[in-house]
Amino acid sequence: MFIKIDHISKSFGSQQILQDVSLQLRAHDTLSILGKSGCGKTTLLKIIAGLLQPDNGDIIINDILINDTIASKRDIVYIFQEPLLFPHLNVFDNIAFGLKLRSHKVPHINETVSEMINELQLNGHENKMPDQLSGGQKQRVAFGRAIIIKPKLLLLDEPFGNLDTETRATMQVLFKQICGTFGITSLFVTHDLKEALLMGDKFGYMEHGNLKIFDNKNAFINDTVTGVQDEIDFWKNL
Amino acid sequence: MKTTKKGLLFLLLGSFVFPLLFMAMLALAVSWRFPGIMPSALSFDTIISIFSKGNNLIIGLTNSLIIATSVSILAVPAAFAISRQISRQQNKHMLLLCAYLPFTLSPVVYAACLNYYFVLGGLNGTLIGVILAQLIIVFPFNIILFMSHWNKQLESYSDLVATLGGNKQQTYFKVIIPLSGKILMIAFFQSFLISWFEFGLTKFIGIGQVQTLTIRVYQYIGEANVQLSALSSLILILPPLFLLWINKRIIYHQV
Amino acid sequence: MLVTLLPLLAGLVYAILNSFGLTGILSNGFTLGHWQTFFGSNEFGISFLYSLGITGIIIIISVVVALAISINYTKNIDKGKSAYLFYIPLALPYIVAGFVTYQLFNPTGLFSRIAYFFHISSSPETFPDLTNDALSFGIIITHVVIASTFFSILFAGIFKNEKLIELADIAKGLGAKNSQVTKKVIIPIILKKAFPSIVLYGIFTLGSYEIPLLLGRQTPQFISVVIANKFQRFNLQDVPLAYCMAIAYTVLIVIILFYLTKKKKLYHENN
Repeated sequence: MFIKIDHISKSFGSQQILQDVSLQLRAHDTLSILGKSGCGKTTLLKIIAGLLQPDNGDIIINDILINDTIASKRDIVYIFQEPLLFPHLNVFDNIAFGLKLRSHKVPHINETVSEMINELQLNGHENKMPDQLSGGQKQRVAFGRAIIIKPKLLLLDEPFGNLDTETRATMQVLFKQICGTFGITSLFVTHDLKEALLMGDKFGYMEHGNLKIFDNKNAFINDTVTGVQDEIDFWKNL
Repeated sequence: MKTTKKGLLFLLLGSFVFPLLFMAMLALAVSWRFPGIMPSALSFDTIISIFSKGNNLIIGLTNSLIIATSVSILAVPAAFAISRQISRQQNKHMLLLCAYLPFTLSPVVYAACLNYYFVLGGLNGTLIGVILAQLIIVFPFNIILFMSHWNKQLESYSDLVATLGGNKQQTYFKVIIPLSGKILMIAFFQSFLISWFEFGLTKFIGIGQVQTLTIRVYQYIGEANVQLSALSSLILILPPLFLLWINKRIIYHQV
Repeated sequence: MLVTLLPLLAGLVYAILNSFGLTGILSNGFTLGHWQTFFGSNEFGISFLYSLGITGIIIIISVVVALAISINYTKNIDKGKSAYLFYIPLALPYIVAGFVTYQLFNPTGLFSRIAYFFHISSSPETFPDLTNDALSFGIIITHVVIASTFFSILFAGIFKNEKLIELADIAKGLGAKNSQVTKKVIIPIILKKAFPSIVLYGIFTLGSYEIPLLLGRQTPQFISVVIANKFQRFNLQDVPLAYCMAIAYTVLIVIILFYLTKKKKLYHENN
């Protein structure tokens, strides 16, 4: 097993945000977590990224306990709902950011970034500044910036939440394709039922700080809490 | 109706520009006795004389420049870093209130209370003493200015850099500072202006030995030397006018 | 925060010690004498009330003037060349502003000369006292010019940020007349938003030094001038009394600030 989250709990003051959350994930898989806003998804992701400390529980990657490893040493990239492109850098430099932090050689950076731009279908936009890009393009740059450093785990917090329906659909396909190409392991958090089903290899449902993991897609569909059955009934009875 | 409105606007704007022209006239007027509405003679001699060696006005100008530059260079980076820490504290409102105190207590009253320590440290009447005294005002001013700069988005940016593998220094120098360029510039210029305009604290702690431009203006007024008062006043308002030309918001903030 | 608080506390501690005769050149040990003198004389009270009264007048006039300017000239303050001219009074340090007022309004100043020219006055003596005068005209006019410019710019910003033009249109759509829109929509919103800044500006004015120093009278004087004078006089007996006044002033300001922050949060306007 590649990633193992063991009995994580977290409270802010008297408010319990996460209650004994556990999950396991194999390398190159995507775990979709469905949950409404305020269910504790973001807190869970921030704890895995090392941006928050859990009250209890362990985070293990490749059999190594990383609880005390600081965020910058974890090799886990967090992608926010906002693309958060650096406004002072153009597309190329935004994508190259992580490589430059690691002091890679310039020819290597140029080559790798160009490949990534190609892969993300962003050719011709290299020199544009973030404010010249559309919502979908910005999120692609944010992906490129994250994936280029080959993180062990990618955490996606409603990454398509701000996009219109059409762009969202395009991005879902592109993301699936890129995950395949680069062998990405990821945790994909969303409140959109269809998106959760489309993006995941494995599925979870989160409510009031509790995470329920399903053995397979059918179990996810058949459980009434996920709302899939309601959706199916709606379309059937239309 | 519209003409009246426009006329009033011109009158208003004219009244803003008028003091500058009036001061220029006072600076050039050699003889301007009552009841003359215009001076009987104008001369550039006073302006030329200030460039002679060891002129008091030039000394005042140099001191003001040294003090204002040092105060801005010291206060801005320190307040930038510290305000970020404060913005993450739970009791930040209380801390912000503390930052307001040095201004709201009149600087002169504040200087009076601190005077003893400056005497004790041998800082009274020294350039360093005046710089330190002004820092006590300018530093919290910058804290207040920067507090509204630290928002959720900037915190998200620094979280993002951390997950991309950046250490604290890299986060600061590659992202936080570039994203704060505008506010840093405003802070620097405003700090410069507060120091440049400062009179009460400087008079108290400088005890007449640290001659800044504002102190010089006050002394010329005391000597009833209208020409030099006007000339030094004009020199005093040159930097703010220059900054106004660059970016008018800078002037607005420091009031 | 230590950098801010430590000097403040240190200053206050020394002031308190000195006011009780525990430190200082003429100190003879603990005494309540200075505080008895302080409470026995109404010098501080008169000066504080005088400063407070003049500050109140300045702020009220400035806010009214600024409302008139900002409502009528929002666009001129915001854009174009005139916008730069609006900022000029803010580029004048208080000491220069005081000097200009003096040169304009003193009995032999420019306005007196103009009055003489038009035979309104017959000599400097017949021109009204407008500087160092009983009514504090000089102090008020100088502060009002600077403060009303500051408030005009502040209000014009609120006008824009709070979408007041759109709100006024809605009010008109609901049947409000122009005067009703101004009275019931524009002015209340501006004043509510600007309240913390107006109060802070008032506190700065209350503690101002240069303008009352140049344009004020011998008595009563602004509180900063009184305290500073007591410190700088040759009579060393006055120093502990000055400390008493500084402490009393600090306490009063802290009470005002605390009361205001409890009622409304004082945030610095940065945008």
